[in-house]
Amino acid sequence: MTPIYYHCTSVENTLNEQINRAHNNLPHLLLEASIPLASPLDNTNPSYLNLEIHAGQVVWLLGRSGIGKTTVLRTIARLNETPGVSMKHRGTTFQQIEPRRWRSLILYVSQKPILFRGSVRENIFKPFGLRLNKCRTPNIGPVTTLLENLYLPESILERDALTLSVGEAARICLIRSLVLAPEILLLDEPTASLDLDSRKAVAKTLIEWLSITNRGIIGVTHDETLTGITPGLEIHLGRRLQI
Amino acid sequence: MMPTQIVPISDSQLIFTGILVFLTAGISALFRLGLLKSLLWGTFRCVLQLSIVGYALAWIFSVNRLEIVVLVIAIMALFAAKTATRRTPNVSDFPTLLAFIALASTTYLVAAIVSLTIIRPVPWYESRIVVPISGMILGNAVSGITLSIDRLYGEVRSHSHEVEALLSMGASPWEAVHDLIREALRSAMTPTINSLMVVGIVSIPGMMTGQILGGADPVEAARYQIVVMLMISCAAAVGSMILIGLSFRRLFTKDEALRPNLFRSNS
Repeated sequence: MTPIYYHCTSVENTLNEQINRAHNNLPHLLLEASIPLASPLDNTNPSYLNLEIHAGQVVWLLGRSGIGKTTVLRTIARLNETPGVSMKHRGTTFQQIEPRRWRSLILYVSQKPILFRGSVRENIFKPFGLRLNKCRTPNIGPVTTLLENLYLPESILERDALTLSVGEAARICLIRSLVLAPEILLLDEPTASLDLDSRKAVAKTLIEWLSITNRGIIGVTHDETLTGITPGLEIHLGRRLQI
Repeated sequence: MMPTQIVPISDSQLIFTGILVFLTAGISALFRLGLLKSLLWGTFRCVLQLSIVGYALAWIFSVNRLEIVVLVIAIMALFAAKTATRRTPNVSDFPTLLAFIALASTTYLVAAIVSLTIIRPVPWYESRIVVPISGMILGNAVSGITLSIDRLYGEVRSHSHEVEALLSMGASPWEAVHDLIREALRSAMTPTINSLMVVGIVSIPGMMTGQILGGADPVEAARYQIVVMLMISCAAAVGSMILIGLSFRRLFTKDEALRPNLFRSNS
């Protein structure tokens, strides 16, 4: 159970591994997860949600509110500890990967947009101030493109983050997550506070983001616009699980 | 300076404190405050405890050995730690041991600095100096550490979404609560720093009053009070820093996630 500490050099190793796998024409299995679902009737014999995310794949978790969709995402992000969970990132079990490294690879974006004191620009680049990401340099280029695609003016970067509307904040949080370039995005109702046009824009942005190699999405949503434009495997929680 | 002598209070004079108790009791009876029993019990304990402390200190001063001083400070720190753990409604579990470590190490450190570099008695552990000083350090370190840890837990509870957002982006536990730790430390240090500004204007501090009653030159008493004021600000800062350093990791699980039972209030 010795945790593996990744440093800047290990990025190269991961890249080499990716190249090897590309040569072998294997579809990249990014994440395997088996998560026990709390069933109110029978605690002794939990049912399991088994997920496999390959490169380019999207999984939507559907089901009525309160069924535990958010809990599943938080468990995958290791923000909730659930006994009986087994997860592997590219074949490495989660216990062997440092939590902060895991979370930056498999990034949870909460439904409630969370911004910090400071300008929007500071908020977007905040993750790059963390020790884990110190060796990476943020690139303003993608941010500008993302802002435009999500119908946000570039001047928003200089605004005080705490004055944004919920809809603006949600899109800024999404941009912050995309710029951090995780492998898997765990999206909790990414379009909940958005109008139709912005929802479409988010869906298109996600498709574009997925087109780059080795990326996947697990999302919770009630939004048919989103699932329509960004099609994926749909899993209905609350019914007997058959995947 | 004219040499002044302490005016001793004899046992028969002490009996007349009964007048004060009688007045207090009268007010309680007049307004039916129901405090009579507490007052009598409190008076009894006050007399008993202070008498014991008086005799204990007399013995400690006469022995005047380093081991005894160290032990006495440890015992005081233990009682202070127990008080500290009861004064933090936001903290669901606050082990006495952590409070004790923070308080004892702060007291030893600050008392040693004050004794060795400022007051410089001979021997340097002169109990007549070091024990009362340690008491004052402890008293203020207790309020410092309770304010800081209570504030830290309160802040983390009300900003849990921010903390989790930072964790999600790859923050270490320290990075995730860094800003909240700053708030907590600030809340611990603000009262003593504010008291530096008003001391002597709003009130004359207890120790200075005591020294003046004890016959000391007010100018000398003021010098001592300066040392004490700066010493207790330092104690609050050092104590809360040590405690927070020891306990911030306890906000998190082994897997570096926020502990779920933080969100249950224990009060």
